[in-house]
Amino acid sequence: MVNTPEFTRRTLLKGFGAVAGAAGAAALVGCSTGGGGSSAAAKVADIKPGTLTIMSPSGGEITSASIAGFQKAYPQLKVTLINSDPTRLNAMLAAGNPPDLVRDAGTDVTPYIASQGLATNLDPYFAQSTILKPADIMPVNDVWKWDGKQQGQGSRYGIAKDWSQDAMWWYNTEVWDAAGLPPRAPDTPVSYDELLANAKAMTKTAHGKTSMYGLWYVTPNIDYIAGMVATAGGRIISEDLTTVDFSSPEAMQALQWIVTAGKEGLGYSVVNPPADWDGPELLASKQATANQGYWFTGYAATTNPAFETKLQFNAAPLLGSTRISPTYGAVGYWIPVKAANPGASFAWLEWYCGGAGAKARIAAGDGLPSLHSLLPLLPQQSAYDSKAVATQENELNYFHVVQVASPYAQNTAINTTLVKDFPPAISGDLSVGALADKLTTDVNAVLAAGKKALGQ
Amino acid sequence: MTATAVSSPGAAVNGRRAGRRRRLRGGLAFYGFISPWLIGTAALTLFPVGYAVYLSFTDWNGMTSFKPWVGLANYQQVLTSGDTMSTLSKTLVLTAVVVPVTIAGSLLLAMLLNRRMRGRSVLRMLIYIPAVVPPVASALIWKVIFDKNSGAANRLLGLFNVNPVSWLTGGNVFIVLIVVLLWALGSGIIIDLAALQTVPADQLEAARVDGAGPFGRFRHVILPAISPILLFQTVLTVITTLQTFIPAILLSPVSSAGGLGVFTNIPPANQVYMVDVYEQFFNYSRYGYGSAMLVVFLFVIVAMTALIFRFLGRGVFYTVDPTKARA
Repeated sequence: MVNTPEFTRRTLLKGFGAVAGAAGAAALVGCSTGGGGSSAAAKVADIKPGTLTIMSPSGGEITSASIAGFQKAYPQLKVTLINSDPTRLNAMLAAGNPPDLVRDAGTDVTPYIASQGLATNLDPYFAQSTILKPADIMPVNDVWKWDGKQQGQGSRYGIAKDWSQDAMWWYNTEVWDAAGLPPRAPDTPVSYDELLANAKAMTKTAHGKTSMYGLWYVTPNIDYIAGMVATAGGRIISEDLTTVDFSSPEAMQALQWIVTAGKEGLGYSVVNPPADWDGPELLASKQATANQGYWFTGYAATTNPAFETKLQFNAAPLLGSTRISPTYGAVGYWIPVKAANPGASFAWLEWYCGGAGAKARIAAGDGLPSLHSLLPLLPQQSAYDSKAVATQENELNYFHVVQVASPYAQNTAINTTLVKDFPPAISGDLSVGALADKLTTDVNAVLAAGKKALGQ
Repeated sequence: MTATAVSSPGAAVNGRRAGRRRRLRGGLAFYGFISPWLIGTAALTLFPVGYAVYLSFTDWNGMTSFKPWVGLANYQQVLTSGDTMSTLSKTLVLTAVVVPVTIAGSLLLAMLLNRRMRGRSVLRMLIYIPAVVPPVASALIWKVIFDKNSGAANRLLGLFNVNPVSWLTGGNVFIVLIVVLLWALGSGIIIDLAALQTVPADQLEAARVDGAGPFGRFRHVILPAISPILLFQTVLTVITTLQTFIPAILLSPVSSAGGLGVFTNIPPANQVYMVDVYEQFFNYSRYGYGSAMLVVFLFVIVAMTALIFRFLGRGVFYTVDPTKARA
């Protein structure tokens, strides 16, 4: 005789009690996870055969040749790409079914993903890696470090695939010379004020139409402003990363510069946006300069090789006297805590950020490597290449991690706020002082809301 | 004597059973046929709406499993926020401009295209083409046309010695948004053309015989005949205009978020309500607050639809009383 379970009121209540208890426990676990602090180091997992899902922008950043190369090295793995989509990522993270790797900017996301327990602490993986050896990893990858309080220190939560010192800039030598400007020494930083004067000399406007902008697209961005302010010895975000202050003399100087550039129409701005980003605009001779780092060599080489001879690569400008040349991204990958196959995820990091995949990209001039040992691979076939590499190698001496990110809000939220607040100042309806106060109030509100959402 | 009167009690019981079985079979068939729709609605509409309502009472950031319960705080903030009022008023202005022009414009063009003339089919097709262009492509094309330095709009103005206008910034970008929305008149024209075919020819002829001019025939014959369609069109256009979102974000400049799929540079003039909702969700990671905004907006849309029925419904002429009509 088969014993059938008997559903009585008592057994049902017991069942509900167990479910409620489990839900309560889950909620408590959720509270502790969301409460902040960096997550403990994970144990090194083996590579399990299966699919490796990478969230990365579509459009060929990860080429089919890269995928084929990786799958040849790891035949037990099959790479699947899904397009970068914050909505989808959030849904996948919330459902506990995240991608195996997420492509992101280390400068912007590390405090957020590490403090909220979303990213895997990769210290044990790096400790045992024969490719990504900690002694060989370049200091830029400190932006992927978080110690629970500060970015730049503590455990590693990701690594850059390739990177640049993004405050550096390029100019079109033909336009520069035609404006009667004396040639610049590439490794000597220009002051931001001098840059404005140069831009003014190169800007060509007639009948309300600008045929040549002397300056690049100055978009109000927290990485950009914090980088400028750092060269004057200041900082935007507080030591405890809970508040910002745009009203310090250094920050006001940076805001004034951005407002002046926009107001005088020396470059595209938030009130006069371009049809495209700096690269196409520079190569189409619509603007004389571009605020791009070393990776631009690869872009120019593949997009318009004939234009390369017109370009000069330059050291990052200074607002004050502190020579700092930061990165605005250190774009690479992090591994979600709930990734199904973290061993395989780390295998991708090794292959793509330090192994054969990295070598191919670095040799093509797509950016700087994450490893010191790969620096000799930077392309130096032509005089132009060698000059760019020499400028870049000198600039490496001035790399510094500039703290811009907070565990309480993603930089997307902060940048959205900046873009909303700047237009009245550029249009002349708001003084720079009032802009500084508004930015401070509005960004602090964003940070406070983020902190509240974490129950802090 | 009827058959029922002579049948035995057992036969009557059997008859009732058979009737019940028939009704049961009919009921099962009915629910069987509509179950895909019911399941779909429950899974894809009711559950997401219910989940959004639940989220509106939390302060969830969209990533963590931690969803702090905040009660009505999000609703209080939505209803007292200056941003909500600002985005809502922009949305209402957009609706007040787009809806009448769309309804009147599509009706006017439909009447012109309803006349017998050479090349009518080609003209109809040409006017309908914009309606089949995907909204993403349409917005991007308009963005190129209105580019300050290289767009066709400023080149045209240049022919008349007018200085270039920065169309995609400041308040001008709102005008471009209106143009983009009005460009898709074609679908309204098709509906109106179909409606005009239903106008009884004998009534038009009788009106003409009675001396009614073109305006009189339009006012007293055509308009009443197509009024149910116009009401439907008005309700639909109001709802879709209130929910304007894709063209507003696509008219933004290049995003500074570089390839990460988030628009951070949406011009303030195009910050209509759904754009604000988008930003709350995906730029600010405020899923709870964004959900509360959506719930509030649902009530706004229902209220506006009810108002349209209340005020415009009176002028609608039904050939069949809809309250008594049966399928």
